[in-house]
Amino acid sequence: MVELRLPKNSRVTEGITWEKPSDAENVQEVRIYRYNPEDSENPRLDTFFVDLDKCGPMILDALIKIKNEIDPTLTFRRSCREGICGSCSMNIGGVNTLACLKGMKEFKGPINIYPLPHLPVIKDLVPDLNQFYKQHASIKPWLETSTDEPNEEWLQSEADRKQLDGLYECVMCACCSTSCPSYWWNGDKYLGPAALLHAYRWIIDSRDQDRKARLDDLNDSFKLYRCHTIMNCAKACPKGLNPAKAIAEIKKLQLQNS
Amino acid sequence: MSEGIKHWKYSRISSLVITPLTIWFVIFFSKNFGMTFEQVSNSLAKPFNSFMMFFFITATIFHLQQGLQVIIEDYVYRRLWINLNIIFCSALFVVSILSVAKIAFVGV
Repeated sequence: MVELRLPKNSRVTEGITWEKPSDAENVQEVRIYRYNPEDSENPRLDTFFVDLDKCGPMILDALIKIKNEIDPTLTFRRSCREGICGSCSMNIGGVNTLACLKGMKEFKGPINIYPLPHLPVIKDLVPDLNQFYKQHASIKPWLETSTDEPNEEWLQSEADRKQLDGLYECVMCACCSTSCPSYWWNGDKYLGPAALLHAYRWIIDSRDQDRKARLDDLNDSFKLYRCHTIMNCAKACPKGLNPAKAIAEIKKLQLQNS
Repeated sequence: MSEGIKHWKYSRISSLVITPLTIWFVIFFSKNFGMTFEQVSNSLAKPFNSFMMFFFITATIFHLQQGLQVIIEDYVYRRLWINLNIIFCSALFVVSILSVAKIAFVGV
């Protein structure tokens, strides 16, 4: 159901302004959402100053520098630092993206960093993605077959393999799903763009033998049809994928299947 | 056909049906603009116009019901609201159709 205001205990207050580095010439102001579940305080927005001459070019570099040199309690997820693991997804300058792929030079003025929108926050920039992963598991993201296993491997023509381009690259960062208003309001019932992109990836896989059951399972006014082609998903995807197109393709297949 | 695709399909079919009917409605409305009540009633009582108005009302109210249901499901999902929407649109349909039938068959 729609929520137009944050609950009282989630409203963000003004936080600590940390000291500017004294000898720095090239300073970037970064405002970061902070929330600690262990105290009873509201979330706050802390202001940090990063010396760009002593820092890597990406937002993730700044976050690591802040954690190492200014406030070691700052909490965020990160792993590969090159856009493959999908861990460092967050809302940067009002847009969901991966901190490791976003350059600081793309911003003028202070950079605001929040966790992904409309998810429960575990701490600082770490949201709870349990529901998101459960939805991904619900579309059976694996090959379903009923015939005997081949001796070596399930073969696929080059043309069939090509159909998976633009789908298999998804790194499950949740930038798309958490940018979707339909997912904000009905995230418990609507599967969201990421899970549906994966669903389509398995529906059109030439080796999969469970297409009809997959389509039948998605034929639900909430699981699939909450998508109203708002297209925030395609705009947010840091990998340049288009989940909205995949969802439209599922609807077309549903129509043929009906 | 279960709920999801059925609703999606009906919304699109009804919107396609409404498109030419709306063009007719705009033409009919602009032709009668500024006319007296009797003149408009007489014009609507002509068989072709009554027939078109009947289809326009049917398709539009059906589309309205489908559209409002999507909004309810999106923002305030409650079975009660969905049922109230069906009752409201059905009542609107009955009143509108009876009005057109009265003008067409009985006169004002």
